[in-house]
Amino acid sequence: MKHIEVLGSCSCCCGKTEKKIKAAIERMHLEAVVVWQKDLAATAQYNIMKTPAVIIDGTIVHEGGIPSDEQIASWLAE
Amino acid sequence: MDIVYSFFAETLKILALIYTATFAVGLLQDVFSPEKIRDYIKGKSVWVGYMAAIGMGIFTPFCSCSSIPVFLGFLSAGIPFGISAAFLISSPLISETALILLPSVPHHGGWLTVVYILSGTLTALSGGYLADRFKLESNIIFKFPERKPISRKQQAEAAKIGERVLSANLFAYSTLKSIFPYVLISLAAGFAFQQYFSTRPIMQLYLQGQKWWEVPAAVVLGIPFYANHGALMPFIDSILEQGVAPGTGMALLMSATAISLPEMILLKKIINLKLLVLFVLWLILFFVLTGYLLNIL
Repeated sequence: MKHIEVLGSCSCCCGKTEKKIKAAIERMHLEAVVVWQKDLAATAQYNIMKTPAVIIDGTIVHEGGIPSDEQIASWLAE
Repeated sequence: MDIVYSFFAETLKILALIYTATFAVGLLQDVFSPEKIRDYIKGKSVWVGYMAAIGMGIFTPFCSCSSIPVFLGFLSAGIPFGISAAFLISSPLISETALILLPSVPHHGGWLTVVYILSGTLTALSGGYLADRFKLESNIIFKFPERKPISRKQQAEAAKIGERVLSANLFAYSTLKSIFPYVLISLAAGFAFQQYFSTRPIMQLYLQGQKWWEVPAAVVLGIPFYANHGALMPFIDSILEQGVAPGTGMALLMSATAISLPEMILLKKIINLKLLVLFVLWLILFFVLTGYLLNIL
């Protein structure tokens, strides 16, 4: 099961990213846990400066900007 | 019918301009990446640092919440507090969208743009300088966590121009998609202002720069709003077209974009209340001064 974290504090970008990832998981009928880490310490501990950031199974796959559906699908397909 | 056509044409114009600005910045994302700017600033003189941080703040398309992680990243890398603060001030205040939309506002848009940029730059520069001069970093309350190593997905080396164009297009398109409803609301608010205020005494008496409290009131009115330039400019454009004083309009724009409750809530976790209040008061002071200057000129 994939473990996905969305890092960042704002609902306009980071909240939207979380929703898009959850929607993609449902579309692709995958099993995954999605957690939205709003705490500033979470981004600081990984030295992430561009949010929203997406971490999948311990690897940062995206930093900055709302990802497209195609990008999300490619991450989930790996 | 004229109103419908006008609304449609104005919407298209605004969206086209926002797309252009965001696409251009999307192409340059590698140049203005926080990591590159951070590494560039290290070891340089503070004045180079201030200007680099302000430049980055102008051309990075962050919403005001997203500028906080950059602020923290600069601090944790040992970048002086004043340089980090200069970025924090300039990031929501001046944007590539403002640069492309401001010149077309009515009544000397070019001149307004120059004053806006100069004022925003001076606000950030002086705020950063004073933060260093008075060692305001002692007011940081955020406890930086221990760094955890993490792997990053390998990025393709120097993406070909075609891939960059596609990526910039995607970025601009997704920005437009998220901003579109707010542009419509802003345009509608501008048309409503035209219908209900522009011919009333309130316009002649209170909105054309005659009263000393107009500019401060515009700044205070902008504080509860949280909007970026793309969403707000249609409304500002409309009220200036109707005759609202330019300084009053610009003061509202600066306040609505640079002072936001979500950002203040996040900042409160990083700096103490005293510095947060100073930060907001500094911004208010500069916005009021800029508004008065524009109304006099």
